[in-house]
Amino acid sequence: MRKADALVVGAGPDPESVLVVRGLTKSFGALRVLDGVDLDVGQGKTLCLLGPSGSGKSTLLRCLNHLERPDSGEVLLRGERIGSRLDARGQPRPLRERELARQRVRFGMVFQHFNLWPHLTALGNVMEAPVHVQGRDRHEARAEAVALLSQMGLADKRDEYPSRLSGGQRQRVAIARALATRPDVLLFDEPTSSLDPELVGEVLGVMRGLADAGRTMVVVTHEMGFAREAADEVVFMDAGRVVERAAPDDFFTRPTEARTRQFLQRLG
Amino acid sequence: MIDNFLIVLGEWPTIAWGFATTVWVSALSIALSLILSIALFVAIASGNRWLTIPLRAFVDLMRAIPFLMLVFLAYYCLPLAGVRLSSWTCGLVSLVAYNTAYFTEILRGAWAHMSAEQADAGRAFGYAGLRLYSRIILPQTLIASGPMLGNQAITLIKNSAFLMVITVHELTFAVNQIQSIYFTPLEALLVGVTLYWVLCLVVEAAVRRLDRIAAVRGSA
Repeated sequence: MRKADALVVGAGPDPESVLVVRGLTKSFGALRVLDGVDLDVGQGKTLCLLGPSGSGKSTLLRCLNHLERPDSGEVLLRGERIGSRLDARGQPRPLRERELARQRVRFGMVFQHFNLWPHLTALGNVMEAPVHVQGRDRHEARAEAVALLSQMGLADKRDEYPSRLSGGQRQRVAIARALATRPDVLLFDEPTSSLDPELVGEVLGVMRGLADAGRTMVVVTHEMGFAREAADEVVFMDAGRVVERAAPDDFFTRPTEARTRQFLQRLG
Repeated sequence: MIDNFLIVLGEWPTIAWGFATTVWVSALSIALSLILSIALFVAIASGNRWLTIPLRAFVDLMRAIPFLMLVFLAYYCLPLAGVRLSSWTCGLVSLVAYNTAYFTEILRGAWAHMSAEQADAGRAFGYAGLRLYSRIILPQTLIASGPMLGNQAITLIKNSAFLMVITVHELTFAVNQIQSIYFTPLEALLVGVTLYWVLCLVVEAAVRRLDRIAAVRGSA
C-alpha cells in the first residue's frame, strides 16, 4: 500500500524504475484515448493493466514502444527518452522511424493475435530479430532460441510453421520471440484473449514463470486470476485515465474508487 | 491427315524456333515483371502520395486496356515519340508493362488481405524502412500470392501469342506461317496448341507446388 502511495500522479520518477511514463496523451480524431497517464514499473516487477474495453489500456501499451506515437507526454526506459529527443531549447523532437526502430527492440512485445511471421518456422521466428536486427552471431542466436523454445515446452515444435501450431503453442513461440531480443521490459497485449479457454492456462503458466523469475512486465489482461496472483501492482484504467493503482490484494478486496468497485462487481 | 502432320513436322526448325521464342520471351517477361512489380508494390505500400498516385494510375490503366491494343500502341506509336524498338523488344516491353500491372495488383491484394498487425510485429521488433519489407512483408506476401502469380504467368504465356501481329517469330507466328504455306491449318494449329498446352502444364505443376507452400507458410 505504501508503495502504491509513492506512485501517485506528479511524483518524481523512482530511480529504481525501469519504465517511467509521464503525462501520456493520445487522441484518435476527436476521441481522447489516453488522457494524461503516468506509470512507474520497477525492475523485476509485473504490472497488470485492467479496465473495460475501450479504456485505453491497449493504446497505452502500444504507446510505450511507440507503435502508436503519443501526442504528448514522455516514456523513459532506463532513463532514455523513447520516441523523441530534446532539442537545444528542451523541446521534444520526434525521432525518425529508423532511430525509433532501434529503441523498440528494447521492448519485447506479445500480441493478442500472436502475429507470428507465417513464412518462418517457430525457430525462425525466435531467431529473426536477434540475427537480422541486432546483428548477433547466428549460431549463438540459434542456440539461445532453441533454449527459449525448450523453456516454453516447445522443443519438439521448433521446425513447425505457425500454421501448424495451436493457439497456445503460437503464443508461447511469440513469448520466446519477445524474450530472444533480451528486452528491458516485456509488453503483453491481452495475450490470452484470442485463445480457446482450454489453452489459456498454458500461456498464463509461462507468464507466471516469467514474473516469478523477475522479468519486468506490463500486462494488459482480462484474466483477474492472473492479475491477482502474478502482479506486483494493478493499474485500473477507465476513459483514458488511471482510476486506481494498488497492490493486487488491496485492489481486489478493498478498492477505493467507486468506478473500480463497479467494474469488479460486474465481473462477479 | 498423317501426311499433313508429317509435312508440318518436317518444318520442325521453324516450330522449334517459334516455341523457343515463346518460352524465352515469356520467361524473361515473367522475371522482369516480378522484379518491377515488387518495386511498385513497395512504392505503393509505402504510402508516399507522389509515388502512389501515378503508379496506381499506371496499374489501373494497364488493367483496363486489351493487351492487343497495348501491343499496337507500343509498335506504332512509340516511334512517333522517337523510340525505335525491334519488334521483339517491343513485344517484351508490352508483355512486361502489362504483366507488371497485374503482378502488382496481386501483391497489393495479398498484402491488403493480411493483417496490418503483421507489419506491427515487424516494427515492434525493430524493423523499419526497406528491411521491414525485405525480411517481413515481402516474403509472406510473395508466398501467399505465389499461386495467383503463377496463374497470371499462364495468362502471360497465352498473351504472348498476340506478338505475332507485330511479326515476332514466336510459336503462333510459326504455325500460322506453316499453315499458310502448305494449307494445313488443322495440323499446324494442333501442333501449336499442343505445345502451348505442354508449356502451361509445366507452369501449372509449379503453381500446384506454390499452392502447397502457400497453404503452410502463406498465413498463420
